[in-house]
Amino acid sequence: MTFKLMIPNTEGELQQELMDDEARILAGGTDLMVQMRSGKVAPTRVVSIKKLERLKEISDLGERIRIGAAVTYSELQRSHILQEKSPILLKAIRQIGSLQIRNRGTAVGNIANASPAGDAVLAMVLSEARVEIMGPKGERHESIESFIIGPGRTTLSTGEYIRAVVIEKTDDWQSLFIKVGQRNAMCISVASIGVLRKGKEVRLAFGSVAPVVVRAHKAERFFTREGIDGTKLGEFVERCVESISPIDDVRASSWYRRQVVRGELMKIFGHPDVGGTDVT
Amino acid sequence: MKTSAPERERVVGSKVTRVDAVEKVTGLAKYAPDIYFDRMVHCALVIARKPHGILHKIDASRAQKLPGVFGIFTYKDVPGKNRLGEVVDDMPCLVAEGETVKHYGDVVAVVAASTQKTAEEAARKVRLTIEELPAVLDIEEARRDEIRIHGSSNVSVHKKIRKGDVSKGFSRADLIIEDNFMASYQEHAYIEPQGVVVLPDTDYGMTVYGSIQCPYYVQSSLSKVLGFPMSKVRIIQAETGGAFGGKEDVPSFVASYAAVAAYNLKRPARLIYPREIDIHTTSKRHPVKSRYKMGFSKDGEILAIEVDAYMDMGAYATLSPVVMFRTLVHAAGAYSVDNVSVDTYGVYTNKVPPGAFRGFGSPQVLFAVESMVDEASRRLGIDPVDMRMKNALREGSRTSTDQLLTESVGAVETLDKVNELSNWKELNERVEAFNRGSLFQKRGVGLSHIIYGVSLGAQGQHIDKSGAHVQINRDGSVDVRIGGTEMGQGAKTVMAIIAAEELGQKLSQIVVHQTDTAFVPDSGPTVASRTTMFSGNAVRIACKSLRERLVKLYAELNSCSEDEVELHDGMISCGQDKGMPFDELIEEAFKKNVKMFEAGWYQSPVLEWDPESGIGQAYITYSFASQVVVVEVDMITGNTKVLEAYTVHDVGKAINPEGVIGQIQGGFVQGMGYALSEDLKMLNGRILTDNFNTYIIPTIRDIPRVFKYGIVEDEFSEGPYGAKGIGEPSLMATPPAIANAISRAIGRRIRHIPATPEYVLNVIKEDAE
Ligand SMILES: Cc1cc2nc3c(=O)[nH]c(=O)nc-3n(C[C@H](O)[C@H](O)[C@H](O)COP(=O)(O)OP(=O)(O)OC[C@H]3O[C@@H](n4cnc5c(N)ncnc54)[C@H](O)[C@@H]3O)c2cc1C
Repeated sequence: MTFKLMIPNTEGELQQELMDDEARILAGGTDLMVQMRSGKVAPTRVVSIKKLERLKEISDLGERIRIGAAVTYSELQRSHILQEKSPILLKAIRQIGSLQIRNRGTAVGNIANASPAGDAVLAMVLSEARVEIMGPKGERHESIESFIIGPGRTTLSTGEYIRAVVIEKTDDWQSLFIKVGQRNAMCISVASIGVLRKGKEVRLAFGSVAPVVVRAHKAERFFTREGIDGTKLGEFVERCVESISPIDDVRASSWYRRQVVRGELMKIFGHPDVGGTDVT
Repeated sequence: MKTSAPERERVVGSKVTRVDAVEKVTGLAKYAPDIYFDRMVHCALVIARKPHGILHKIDASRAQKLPGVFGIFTYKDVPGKNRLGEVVDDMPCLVAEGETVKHYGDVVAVVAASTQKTAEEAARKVRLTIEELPAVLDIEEARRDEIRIHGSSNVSVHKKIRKGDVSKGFSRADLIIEDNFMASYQEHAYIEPQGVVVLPDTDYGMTVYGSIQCPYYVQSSLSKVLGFPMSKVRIIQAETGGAFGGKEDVPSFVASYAAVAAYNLKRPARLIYPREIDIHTTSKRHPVKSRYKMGFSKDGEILAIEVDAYMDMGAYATLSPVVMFRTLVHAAGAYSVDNVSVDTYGVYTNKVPPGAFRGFGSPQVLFAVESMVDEASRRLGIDPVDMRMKNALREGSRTSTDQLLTESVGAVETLDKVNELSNWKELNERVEAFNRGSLFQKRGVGLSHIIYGVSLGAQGQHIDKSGAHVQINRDGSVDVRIGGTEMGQGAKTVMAIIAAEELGQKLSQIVVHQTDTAFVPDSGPTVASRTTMFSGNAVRIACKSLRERLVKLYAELNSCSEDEVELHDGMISCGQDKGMPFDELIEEAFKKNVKMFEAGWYQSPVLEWDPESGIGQAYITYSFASQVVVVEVDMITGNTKVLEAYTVHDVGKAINPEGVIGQIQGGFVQGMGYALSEDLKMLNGRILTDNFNTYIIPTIRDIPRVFKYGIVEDEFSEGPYGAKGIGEPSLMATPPAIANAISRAIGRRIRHIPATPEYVLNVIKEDAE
């Protein structure tokens, strides 16, 4: 595990460093350091982005918010635009790791890491996020859903990096984020559920129950078209469950994951009178 | 005797700052990885990574070529006996070619290199040719004896209790309950992993610095592995970042591996375990599968109890037979029962060998028996507190081994106090009211009442003794050396308090040194909640002799009566005189050649015990505890939150109340992890949860918002100032209290710990369908 640490001063230098196949960006390092220690990745160059001031910006684009690649969770939590305009992202962030992790970890790191358990990813999927990518061939944009293609896999190619992520403002939606883990803090989602609702429209995403964070597009359309009254609720929930394909792993079984997704959905949509369900 | 003297303030029982707090908080404290020597080599282990098989060949040729590798040592390089194991030496130090590997973490070779990284890289390059054999992976399979791990049978240890006549008891019973329970592994999760530095020393022997709970075990083990006399093996305990039993026998193994390297290279050798190696290779709490049958009268009296408990010893017996003694004695719980039959068995499997862990074989059965008593109280419609009260042990009662309890039985008082502290009746009403208004969250109140035998007991009495050495220096400062160890539990502070109390010197002038086998004779292990009592008595005895000399000297110097001399807080005085600072008196003592050092020695009273019937004096005395918890179970996820906890412990005497509180809190949280989330998962004998991202211990956010404790001081005449033990009993009450609370919340019995969300959801769904 020997590597060179590079700290470029400009994005130009950053691009140069990344032309090496064995280079990896270091944002907060909360995934990278863990993976390097376990031998899962062994970069020969570790490229820190901490000196790139432009990547630390959060900007209000009117309908949307742009979050730079070096912005930490704690900074997002302190940002007024986020507090006002993206309750869903803040709800997700509140449940990520611990204060120490949030002080270092970044939302863009969460995207690049492409874990199905990524809590910020889930909120960004619900916020129809677009990923802003820079590379040798210039800039490109891609929706987060197509950018993440599998566990730990994205469409990034050599030399490319994420410069920012642009999310929709969703303050006019009711929002809910449920994280099911193995304890009350510092835990990785065993299953997570995010809901945005505005009248007859709904957006649903699930984490840790498929190779990637998934949006339940079919179920969303069913909700708008058919509603959830009476027997429709069961049908709606089944459509949601169809969008997931959980596995057994060291944290939980696929049986358990299915059970909790189904149970939580029944609770959220079937019992509007019960506390904690602010989407209905 | 004078009656008019003002009652002086005692150090014992007062609030003091931990004597080692500053060094630990500021980072000055030296742990094993902080200790460096010139020419020191770094070691890494080559482990089998197969659960069962014949080791045909160890090929180190590729590893050897790596620059910076000094040596790769195998069984051929062990100078003495290639054997380890404190109670049963059925474990090789390094598995030999031609022999079988018996679990994933079996150690085959030790690599020594210039850096830790190189050593680890080389260890990965050592090729093992292992012909795999079918592995025995659970208790049931082991009992069938189709595949045998050692010699004749996998079921190799059996202990029993036969008291009264259980069939008679059952025939009189109005209610008989039978049930099965499983308590799974628990990993110690000490903050500091295992680690030692071993060096050839100036006495031409070997000195070990290490994270060690029982230095005398390491000394005898190393003397065998090296073929050195014990006088040439010296163990100095480094600061130790937690142990919980996990550093009882295991450091003997760790030090042996490093010693093989140090011996062959004639250089200091350092072996610090990475967390994964630590979890894969070192001891755990034993999984115990138990079957219970209990008979009750209508009014809740326990008439008979019958228990079979099987404990998974893993691949080697190591400490298991003595762990099992505690399982045996605690299986029938904290009650007075006339008819008792208990059978405990130890079985070999191809898995990591469990060993000592805070509670030592008792939490598994205390969880089961308390679940049974709770179930009986539910079925009989008797209040859980009343149910325990009816059967509780009192002075004059006899335990499950028919031991007559003559003093220090605070059991009933802990029940009374916890009843009061938790506002029991109102608490239950509050929880019922919540449940009426809640669909998806259900709360439950759980109670537990436990007993805990202090020190090593009948089967360990031959090693139940402790020495101490106390020396007053010319400047009045005091050196205290004990054979017990400080591993975070606060032993040093208690010893300093005792010395300050007896000598009258200020607490700040007393230094309790790191334990060193060169200064204090074999004092047994620092386990079994015995240190305050055993090392404490030894220190007290030594200090009393010194005190007598000081009193005599002061009385001579001031021509007053010895009876009237007072020593307190650095001052010596007599009657109404103006007194003399402690340091000045010591100056006088040195001028007059008064002997200013003393050895103390305390040994266990003899315990009568019949191993055939399991009848007799199992332990010198018992600690008791009662606990109430309130949990909230999420009926959709099965997740449990502990909301409130009330716990009361009979400790005999709280010499250091702050330390007792620390133990009560820490024990509770560790017990909570065991009860709820610490799920050690394995696949084909390999531990999957080999770090804290997947092995889930509680965080600060899991600790209940309401945590109240009470201390009962029913003094024990043999204990220093009446003290018994608290180190382990602090944990024992929690798993059953939580399991009972969940059972009450969901209306189904919890029979397995840890009661993970997935397990609880299974129980909710299974019975509902
Ligand atoms: C104790 C602990 C608790 C955690 N808890 C949670 C949790 O509750 N929920 C959760 O979702 N995650 C959790 N994580 C995971 C981690 O904190 C998050 O995924 C975090 O968002 C990663 O961000 P980072 O800035 O630290 O990424 P880094 O570790 O710096 O980077 C992660 C990966 O992305 C790449 N990368 C980073 N930035 C860019 C970029 N701009 N362009 C291209 N590639 C890039 C890196 O090369 C690396 O491969 C936890 C981690 C730890 C250690």
